[in-house]
Amino acid sequence: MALTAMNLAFTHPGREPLYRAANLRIEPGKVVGLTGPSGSGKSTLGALIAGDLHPRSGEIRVDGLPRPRRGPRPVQLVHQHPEHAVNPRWRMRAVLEESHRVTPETLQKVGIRHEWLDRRPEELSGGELQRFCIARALHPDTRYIVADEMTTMFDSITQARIWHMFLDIVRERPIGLLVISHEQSLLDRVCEEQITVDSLRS
Amino acid sequence: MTHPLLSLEDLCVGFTRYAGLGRERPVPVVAFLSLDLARGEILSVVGASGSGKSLLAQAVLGILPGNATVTGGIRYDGETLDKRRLRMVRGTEISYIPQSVNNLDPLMTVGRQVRIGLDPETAHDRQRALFSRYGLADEVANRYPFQLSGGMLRRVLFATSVRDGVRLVIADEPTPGLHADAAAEILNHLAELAAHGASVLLITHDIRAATSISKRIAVMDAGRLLTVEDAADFSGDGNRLRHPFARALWRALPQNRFATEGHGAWH
Repeated sequence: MALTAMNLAFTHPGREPLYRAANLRIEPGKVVGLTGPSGSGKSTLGALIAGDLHPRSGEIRVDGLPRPRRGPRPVQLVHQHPEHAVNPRWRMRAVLEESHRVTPETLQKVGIRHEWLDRRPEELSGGELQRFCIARALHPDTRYIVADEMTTMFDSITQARIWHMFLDIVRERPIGLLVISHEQSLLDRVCEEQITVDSLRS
Repeated sequence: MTHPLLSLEDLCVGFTRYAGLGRERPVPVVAFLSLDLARGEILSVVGASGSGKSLLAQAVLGILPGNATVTGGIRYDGETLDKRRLRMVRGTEISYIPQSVNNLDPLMTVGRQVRIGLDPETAHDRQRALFSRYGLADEVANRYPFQLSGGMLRRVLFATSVRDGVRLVIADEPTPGLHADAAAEILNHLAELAAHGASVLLITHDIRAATSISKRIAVMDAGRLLTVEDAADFSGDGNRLRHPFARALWRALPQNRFATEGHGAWH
């Protein structure tokens, strides 16, 4: 069982090929870091893995099977800016239910207070909003999560709190994690294994 | 003794929010903040998102939303910074490097955006000089913001903001999401401006960025200035830091303890 990407090729329109034959493997419960300079293609790889972008060639398999064409995606993506990832006009309850009926246990683990459910995104801080994006990504069918600069916009205390919570949940389920960050010390702290974008592009 | 370049005295910022049934309710967001910025000094303001540090910058620049009220004193170069004075110095003596790259126009090439406000006769030459100063290749001028990486966009923001003769630079979160090298480069540009005599107010949630270029660090939480610490005290286990919230911020860094203790109200 693993998330595997084989010989992924991708080119942004009008540019040089970004990836020619990238290979990647993440096992459930494992935390793998992806590092590289800004603009080197980290987020593009995350989007390819999660299915937001489609590779020109190559194959991504989730636990041996191609990703399902419809229904919940087994590989979820959590972004850098939660305020851009939720509908600004919806109440948070609707934001969650768009994904699934999140259990009270999960809400508690993720650290979402019950009274936040009736608020709109603008009435929550970035850290609080990101907890909703994490809860939403924890669909029962989720097997892997790409965390793309998930806590970059937050102060150190909020960052530490979110990561402690998140790591507890993904280890318990177990969910495999690809952590994209420019912050080496964070990757050193949370990842068991690290890969560089350069090693995928060669 | 020379007076500070920028001096805030009991600065308060509040918003009026609609409270239903035709009533309005004032919500204080920055309370009684006093702070001095010396000439050539780089002062960092750190704190959580929502702590009011960006509002502090916007209050100085006079660019708060319409429903905001500001009380208290803002003095620039010894004189009150009122609307008239602000119009004269904003964009020339006072530069603002905004937080979000969304402040760039997505439908205009970045070269054209950098040329805004420059003398049309020399604008192209000046823009090329600014590009080379900030390490942007000439051909980048013809690209649109979506075609550039986060690091390049930050440099474009610098090129649009900083003009000759600048005396005060206010940079709001110029480094998040940037790789160490790119962030260091941005901070170097700020340090360079200070070395040429400009004062820099660096607003950031990145303590390491703050300690790398400033001597004094102002720490804010929930609209209050909690403490001004020596940058050098952000070291080891942070035991020399005077305020518990400053220690908590330091100890929560992944390279320190990654600790989660310390919550909410410190004031």
